[in-house]
Amino acid sequence: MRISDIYLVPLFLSVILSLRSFGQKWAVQYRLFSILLISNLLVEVIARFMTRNFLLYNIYLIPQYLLYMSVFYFELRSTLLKRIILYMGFIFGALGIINLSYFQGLHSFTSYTYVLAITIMIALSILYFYQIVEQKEMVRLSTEPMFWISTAILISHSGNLPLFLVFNHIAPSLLEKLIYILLVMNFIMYSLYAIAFLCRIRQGK
Amino acid sequence: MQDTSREIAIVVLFGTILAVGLTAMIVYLLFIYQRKRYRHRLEMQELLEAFNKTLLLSKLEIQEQTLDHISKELHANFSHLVSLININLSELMARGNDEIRENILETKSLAKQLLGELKALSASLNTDHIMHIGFSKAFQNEMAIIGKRNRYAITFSKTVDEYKVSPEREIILFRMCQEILNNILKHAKASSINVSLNYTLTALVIKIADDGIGFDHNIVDDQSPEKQSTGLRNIFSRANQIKAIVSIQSEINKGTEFIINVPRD
Repeated sequence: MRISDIYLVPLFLSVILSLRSFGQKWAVQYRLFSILLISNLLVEVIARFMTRNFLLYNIYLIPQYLLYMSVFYFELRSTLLKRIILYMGFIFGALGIINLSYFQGLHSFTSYTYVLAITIMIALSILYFYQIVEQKEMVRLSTEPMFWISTAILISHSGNLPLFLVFNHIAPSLLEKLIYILLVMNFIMYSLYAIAFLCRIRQGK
Repeated sequence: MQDTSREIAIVVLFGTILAVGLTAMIVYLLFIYQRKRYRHRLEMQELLEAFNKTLLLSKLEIQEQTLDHISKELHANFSHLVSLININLSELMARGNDEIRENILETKSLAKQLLGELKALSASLNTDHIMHIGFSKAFQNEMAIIGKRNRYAITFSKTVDEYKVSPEREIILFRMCQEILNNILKHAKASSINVSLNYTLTALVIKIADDGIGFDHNIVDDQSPEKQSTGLRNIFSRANQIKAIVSIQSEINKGTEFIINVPRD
C-alpha cells in the first residue's frame, strides 16, 4: 500500500462499522450514509485499476453529493430547509451535468462542480449545528453520530476548498505535492465517520 | 513562473490550515457550549428533584404532626368526655326504674364501644405508639379494627423470621398501608382482604389483595391532575421516600393486589 492510499484504512473501517446501521435499524439518514460510504469505497477501489480515473470521479461526483444532501434532508427538521435541500439537489444535479457536458468535460477535473458541492456541504453542516443549538431537547454531542459526520464534512470540505479553487490552474508538478492536503483531509474525514458509527451503541432504536 | 507556483502553494496551504483551524475551533466551541448547556440542564433537574423531595418531606412531616395532634386530642379530650358520659350514666342508672336502666345499659355499652373505637383510632394515628409497637403489630391492629366491622373476611399472615425496619421507614410504610386499606374500604366494594408480610433476607414484601371491583390503570393514569387519586399519588411518593417499590395488579371485577417491596436497611 502506498502512503497516498492510507486514507482507505479509515474508509474501510467506517464502511464495516456503518453496517450496524442496517442490523440495528438506525434512522434512515444513517443507512443512507452507510450506502454512501460503501459506494465511496467501491469507487476508490475501482479507481486504483484505472489509469485515467478523472472520468470515474467526475461521473460519481454528482450522485455522491446528492446522497450527502439526502442525508441532511432526513436529518434537518425544518420543512423549509428540507424544501431548499430538494431544490438545491435538482439545481446541483443540473449544473453538474451541464458542467460535465459543456464546460470542464469528462476528462478534466470538474473543479466548479466540486466547489459548488463543497459550498453546499459547508452550509448544510452549519445548518445542522444551528439546529442543535436551537433545539429544546438536550443531546450529548459526543454520542450523536450526526455531530461527528457533520464535523467531518465541515473540517474536510473547508480544508479542501482552497485547493479545489485553484486545482485546474496549477502546474502538475505542484499539484502532486499539494494533493497531500486532499489525502490528509480524506484521512481525517473517514476517521471521524468511523467515530460516528462507534460513538453510540443503540442509536436510532 | 516558479515563484508564482510557490506563491499559489503557500496560499493554498495557508488557506487550508486557516479553514481547518477555524472550522475545528467552531466545532470545539459548539461542543463546549452544548456540554455546558447539558450540565446546566442536569443541574436544574437535580435542583428541581431536591426541591420536590424537600417539599414532600415537609408535607409528610406536617401530616404526621397533624395526625399526632388529632390522636392526642382523641385520647385525652374525647376519651375523657366519653368516660364522663359513662359516669353520669352510672349515676342515672342508680336512680332510674328497670325500663330506663335497660336503656342506660345499652347506652353505656355503646359509649364503651365508642371509647374502644376512639382509643384504637388514636393509637393508629399516634406516631409514637406505632414506633413503639412496631409496624407489623400496628398493621395487625389496623386489620383487627377493619375486621370488627364484620363486612370483610380478613386474612393476615406473616413469616416468623420478622425483623425491625428503621422507625422512620416504619411510619411511612404504615401510612402507605393505611392509605391502601382506606382505598379498599372507600372504593373497592370488596368482601375479603388478604394481607401477607414476607420478611426475606433482602426485603420485606407486603401483599395487600382484595376481591373488589378493581380499576383500569390506564384510565386512572390518563385522568386530569385534579381528578387523579391523591391516595395513589401519596402511596407512590411515600414509597419513593423509603426507596420501596410498589406494583399494582388490578383486573376489573376481579380485585386488586398491591405489592410493596421494601429493601432491608
